[in-house]
Amino acid sequence: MSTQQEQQPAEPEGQEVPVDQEMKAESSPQQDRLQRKQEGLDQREASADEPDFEEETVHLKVFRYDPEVEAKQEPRFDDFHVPFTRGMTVLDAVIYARDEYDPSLTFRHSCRQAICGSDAFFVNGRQRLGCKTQISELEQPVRVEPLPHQEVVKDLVVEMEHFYDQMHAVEPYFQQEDLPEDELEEQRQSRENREKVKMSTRCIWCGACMSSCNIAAGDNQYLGPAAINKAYRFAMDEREDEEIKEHRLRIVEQEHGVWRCQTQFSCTEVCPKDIPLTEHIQELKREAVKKNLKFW
Amino acid sequence: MAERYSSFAPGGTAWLLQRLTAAFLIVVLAFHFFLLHFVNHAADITFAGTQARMQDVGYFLTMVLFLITATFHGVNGVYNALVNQGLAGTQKKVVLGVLVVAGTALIAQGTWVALVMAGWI
Repeated sequence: MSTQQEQQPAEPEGQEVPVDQEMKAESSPQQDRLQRKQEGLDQREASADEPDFEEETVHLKVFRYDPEVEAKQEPRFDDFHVPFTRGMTVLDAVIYARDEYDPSLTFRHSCRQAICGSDAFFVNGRQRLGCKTQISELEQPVRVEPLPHQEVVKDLVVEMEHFYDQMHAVEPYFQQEDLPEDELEEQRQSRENREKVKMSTRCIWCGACMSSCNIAAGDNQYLGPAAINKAYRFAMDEREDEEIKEHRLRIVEQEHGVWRCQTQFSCTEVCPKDIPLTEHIQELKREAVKKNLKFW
Repeated sequence: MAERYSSFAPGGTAWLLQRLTAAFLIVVLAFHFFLLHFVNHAADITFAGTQARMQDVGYFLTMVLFLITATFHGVNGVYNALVNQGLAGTQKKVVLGVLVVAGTALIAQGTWVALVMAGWI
């Protein structure tokens, strides 16, 4: 983008024109995102003239529990009234509550920009990333709870070990052994194939999908949407040999692999990165059936 | 390499059959409802009429196939719903056994009734 701007200093709007044309011509996920981005920009510009909300406060109800502190052994909700600032996220609000009111309020967070996947909470009855959820879009009081169906370690921190075990069970790493003959040759992937696996590569291991899944809640052996999506990312990668793909399919076609998915789409609904998880699981089911129907 | 040549590995077969029977059942259920509920109303169904229909080989085969697919679809559905709920170990084996026996008995009894209705035994 920046190089384009440098090349065309006389036409600063030159780069936006083709985007607009494409938006009219077709509706790919990328175009949808660009459209949403533009709409958000328009909204922000429109609201820039509105009066300041600095005086308003946000009413937070935050889940509290600590097995090591006697007064917190009984789970409860604490109320915090946090001054609202424009663009404030749920994570900003709980950080404020911790820094200003109660330093013992515990939650995971790191990058604050929806990349590290640390701050998935159950906000107003739905799994969301704290740093990606605008307070202004939520009804008050804002209830912040730890992810359901995982053991609570303390306050908003849940045990993630089981989730990581499931993720590792699908061998989430590239396994191609036959490298190109020339040592300096790259292992190239076609644009079409990259496009196919693109959405699946976006997973940030936040665990929101696994927490929202009804089946994973009742069946601990179920791999879960995130792990299956990870398997999809590699099984569909054309740079791995057919034998490795079959090995991957054998892992996911176990009884507690893909077959447990009941296509409820709750994982797809809550995924903060918009990964079509359910579709990926269904595609792996079809792949597994196709593999098993080979008679030759 | 043997694994490569084997067909119908456990997990996927039931899933595929569940889908195939579902597609089949949509059509046959529609046929059943139209014939025995909407066209001929409950009051019009007679024993002689049932016997007459069953003597038609096409109808007989459709009904037997309807019975087998519906039983599989139902039994497999119940079993998987229970597995989804975390059914495991001995309980799971027992439930599977009971469901298989019940399903087989249902198919055997239904086929026998159909044969009797057709007057073939």
